[in-house]
Amino acid sequence: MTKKQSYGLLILLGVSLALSAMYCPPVNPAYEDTEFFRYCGWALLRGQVPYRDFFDHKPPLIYFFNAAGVALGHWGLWMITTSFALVVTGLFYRLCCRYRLPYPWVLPLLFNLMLRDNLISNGINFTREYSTYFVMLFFLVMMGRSRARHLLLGFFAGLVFFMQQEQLLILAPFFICLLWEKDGQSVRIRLLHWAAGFCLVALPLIGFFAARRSLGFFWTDAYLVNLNTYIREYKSPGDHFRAVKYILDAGNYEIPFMLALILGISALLSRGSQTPSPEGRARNGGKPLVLASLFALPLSMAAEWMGGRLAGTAVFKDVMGYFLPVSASVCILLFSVFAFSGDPAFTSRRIQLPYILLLCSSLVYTAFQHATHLTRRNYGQDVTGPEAAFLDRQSLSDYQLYIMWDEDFATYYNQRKILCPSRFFYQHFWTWYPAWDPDHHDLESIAASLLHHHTTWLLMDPADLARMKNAADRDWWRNFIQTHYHRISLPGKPDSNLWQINDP
Amino acid sequence: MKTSRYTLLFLMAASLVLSAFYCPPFDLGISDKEIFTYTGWAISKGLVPYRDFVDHKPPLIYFVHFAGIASGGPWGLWVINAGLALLATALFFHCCRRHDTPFPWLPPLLFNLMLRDNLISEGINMTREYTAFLYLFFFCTLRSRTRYRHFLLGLLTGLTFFMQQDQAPALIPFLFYALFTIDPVPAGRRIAWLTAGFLSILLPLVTWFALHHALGDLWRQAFLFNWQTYTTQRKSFGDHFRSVKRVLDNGNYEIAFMVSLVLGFTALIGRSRKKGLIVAALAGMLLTMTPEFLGGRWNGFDSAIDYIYYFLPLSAGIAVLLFTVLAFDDENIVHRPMARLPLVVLLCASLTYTAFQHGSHLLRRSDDPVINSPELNYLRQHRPDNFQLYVFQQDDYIAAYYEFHILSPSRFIYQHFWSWYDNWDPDGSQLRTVCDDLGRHHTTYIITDADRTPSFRNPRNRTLWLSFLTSHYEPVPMPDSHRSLLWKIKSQP
Repeated sequence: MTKKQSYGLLILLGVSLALSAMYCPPVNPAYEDTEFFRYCGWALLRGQVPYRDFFDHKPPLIYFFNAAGVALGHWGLWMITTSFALVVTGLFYRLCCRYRLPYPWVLPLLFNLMLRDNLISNGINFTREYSTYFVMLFFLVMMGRSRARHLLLGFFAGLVFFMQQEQLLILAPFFICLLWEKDGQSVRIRLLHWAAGFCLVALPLIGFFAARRSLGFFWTDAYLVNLNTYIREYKSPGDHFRAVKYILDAGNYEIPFMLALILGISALLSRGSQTPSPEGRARNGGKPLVLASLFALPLSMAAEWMGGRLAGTAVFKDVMGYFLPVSASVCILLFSVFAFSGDPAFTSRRIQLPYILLLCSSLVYTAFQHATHLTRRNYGQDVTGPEAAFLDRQSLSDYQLYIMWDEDFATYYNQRKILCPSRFFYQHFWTWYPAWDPDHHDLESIAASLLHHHTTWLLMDPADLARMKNAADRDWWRNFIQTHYHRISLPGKPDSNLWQINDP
Repeated sequence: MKTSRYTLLFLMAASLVLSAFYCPPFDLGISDKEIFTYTGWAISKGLVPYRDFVDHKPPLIYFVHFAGIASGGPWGLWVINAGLALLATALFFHCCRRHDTPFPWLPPLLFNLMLRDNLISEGINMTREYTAFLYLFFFCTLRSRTRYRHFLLGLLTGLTFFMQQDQAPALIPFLFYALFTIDPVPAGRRIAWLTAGFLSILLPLVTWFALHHALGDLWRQAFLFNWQTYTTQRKSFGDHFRSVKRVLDNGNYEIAFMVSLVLGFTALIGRSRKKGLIVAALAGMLLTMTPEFLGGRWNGFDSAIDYIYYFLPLSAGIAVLLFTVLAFDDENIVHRPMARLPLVVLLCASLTYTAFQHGSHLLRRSDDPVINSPELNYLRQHRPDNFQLYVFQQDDYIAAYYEFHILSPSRFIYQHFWSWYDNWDPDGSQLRTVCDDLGRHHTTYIITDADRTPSFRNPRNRTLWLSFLTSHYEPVPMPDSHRSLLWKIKSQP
C-alpha cells in the first residue's frame, strides 16, 4: 500500500467511525427489535436459553452478539457493530487498491453511506446489519488469496445463515461461480472445505442447544415458524415491485441501485479487453462474477420476496430495514464491474467521475441531514409516564411485570433489569396472523407463567385486544385478564393501562 | 434520413400518447385549472381579467384558455396543449439532429416523459407547462439560423413573462449568451431586435387592457400583489433545499436532475466546446426552480407546503442541459457507446415506469368524487342561472361554473388569500364586497364548508363571513350524506 493509499485508508476509517458515531448510545434511536435483542442478550447472560426461555423466530447468533455487547457494557454493542464496519471498510479498500480501481475509496465509502443511511437502517444492531457484514466478508475472502479461503467461505456462510437465514440466498450465486472457478483444488475438496467452515458455526450452536435440551425449541421457533407462517402471506408481484420501488426511493437507495443494475447489465453486454488484471486473469474473465453479483442484487431483497408483510391491518407494511443488505450487494456489483470489465467505458477515471458523484451525492446529503438532526436519548429514562413512575416505586423483581403489546414500554425490562415472566416477550404474531395459536395453547402458557410466578403487574391497553386477529384467542385472553387481574387507577391517569393481580 | 423520419414519428407518437393521458375524459380537476377554464369562458362572454375576476397570474393564460374554449371547449384546450407538446418535440428533435447529437431522440423523449410525469404535473393547461414549452422554443430559436432569431427571442421572452413572470429569469442566462457571443449582428442591433420582440407582446396586451379600462387592475393584481404579498413569505434556505429534494424525489425527477447536473458540471471540467452555452444551460436549469425560492409557500397553517407542479419547467431545463452536454462535450462519457447507454437507461427507466403506472391506472373524470358529489348532482337537477351559484373556498367545485355555463356573482372566484395571509383584507372590505354581490344578485346557492372557516387567518373576517352565511343561507340536506356543502338562500318571510 502506497503512502497515498494509507492516507486514503485513514480518511475512510475516520468517515466510517463518524457515520457509526451517529448511532452511538446517546443518540441511537429506540427501536423495539433492538431492545428485544438486547433483552435476549442480557437474559442469556442470566442463564436463560433462547427459544426455550424466550420466544423469537430469528436464528440464534444475534442473541450471542447481544450477550457479548451487554457484557462489554453500555457501549458494547456499538463497539461491536462499529468494529465490523471498520474491518469491512479497511479490507474492502485494500481490495479496491489491489485491483487498481481509479477511485479505490469510492466503494467502501458508498458501503458505509448506505449502511448508515438512517432512512433505511432505523438504527444499529439488527440481524440484517450483521448479515451484511458477513456477506461483505464472504466476498472479500472470495476475492482474496488465503489458503484457507474455502474454509472461511463456509464459515461466513454459516454466520450468515445463523444470523438471518434468508440472507444466505445472496451467497448462492457466488458459490455457483466458485464451483466453476479454475482453482488448484478439486470441486470435492472445495465442497468439503465449505462444509467444514459451515460446521465451525453450526456445531457449537447445536451443541449449546443440545446441552440445554432445547434443540426442539430452536428448530421449531427459528425455522419451522418462519417456513410455516412468516413467509406464507401472499403479495402480488406488482405489489412487491411497488414496495421495492417505494423503499429504494424513500430510503435514498434509488440512484446507487439503478446505477449498479444498469452498469452490471451493460458490463455483461460489453466486449471486455484482454488486459490482464493484477491477479493475472484476463479482465473479461470476470463476467461470471458480474453475473453472480447481478443475481445477488435481487436476492439481497429476499426478505421482501418471501413475505407479504401484512401488518395485521390488511395494509402492506414495507419494512425499510429489510433492505439494508442491498448496501452490500450494490457495492459488490459495482466492484465487479469496475474491477473486471475490460471496456474503458467502465474503467476510465474520467468516465467514472460522474458515476461517483451520482452514487454518493444523495447519500452524503442524507448522512449530513441525519448528523445535523440527531436526537439525544437518555437511556434508562426513556420509559416514562404514570405507569412507569408507579412501577418504579414498587421495587420490582424478576417476573413481577408482564408487558403486553406495548413495544415502547417493553424497554422497561432492559432498563430496570428484570426478567419477563413468560417466554412470550414478543407478541406480534397474535396481531398478524389469524391462524397463529388457534387453540390458544401459547396464550395458556403465558397465563400459566403469570400465575406460576404470581406476577403482580400486567401492562396492557385494553384497546389493543382488538388487534388480536383470532377472535377465540381474544375472548380467551380477555376472560383470563378479567378473572385474575383488575385495572388500577393512577394519579393523573384514572384509566391506566396497569393491571394488578387479584388477591387470592 | 429515413431512420430520422421514423425516429421523429416514434417521438411524436410517444408525445401524443403521453398527452392522451390527460385528455378531457381523464383530466382530473385541480382548482387552478378550473379557474383558468372559467376565465377563458368568461372572456368569451365579455368579461375582462382582473377587472371582472380577481387573480394574480399574468394575462396570457386567460387568453390561451379563451382560445381553447372558443375552439371546442376542454377538447380545444387539450388540442392546443398536445399540439404545443408535439411542436416542441419536433423542433427539439430537429435541433438535436442538426447538432449531430448522439441519441438525438433522448432529450425530446425525456422532455415529454418529465412534462407528463403525473407525480409533478397534476394535469395540464397550467401556466408553468406553457412556460416549459416556451423555454424549449426559446432554446431552439437560439440554436437556429433564422434571420429573425433575436426578434423571436424577445417575443418568446415576452410570452414567458406574460404567462408566468417568475419563469422569465430562467431565460436570462441564454439572453446573456445571445448578447455576448460572437455574432455577425452587432450587439446594439441584437438588443433592438430583442426589445422589439418583447414589445410585440407587451403592446397589444397593454392596449387591450387600456381599452377595457383595466390597466390599473392588471398592474395591481398580476404584478404589485405578487411583489408585495405573494413572494414575501420567508422560508429558510435549508427549508428551500429540503423542499427541492423532497419534490424531486417524490416527483421522480431525482435521477434525471442529478444525472444532467453531474454531466453538466463534469462537462465544464473537461475539454468541452461551447462551455458558455453549457454554463447558461446549467444556470437556466437551476433558475427554472425560481418559484420555490421566491415564495414561502405557507398554506396558512404554519407548515411549509411544496407546490410540486411549480417544478414542471425543470422538464425543459433538464432536457436542454442534457442536449448541450450531449452535443458539445467532446470527451465525456456520452461519446462512448457503452458509457452512454447506462445513462440513457438511467434517465428514462424510472420516468417510463411512472408513465406506465399512470397510463395503466387512469381515473375517469366522471368518477371524480367532486364531479360526482351529491351537491353537484343536486345542482344538475336544479340548474342555476348566471350569478346564482357561488363557490367559496371549495376550489374543486369551481368546475361547476363552466359546467353550468354561468358567471360567478363575485369577482373573487379565487379565495385562498383569506386563508393564507394575516394581513390580507384586514378591514374585511373585500369580503364585504363578496357579501354585497351575493345580496345584489340574490344568489340562490353557495357551495362552502362551514367547518373550514377556521382557515380564515383573520378572526374578524371569519366572524363576518359566518354571520353573513348563517343569517342569509341554510344548508340543503343531501341524500346519503351526513354533511352538506350546499347552502340555499333563505326564503323571504
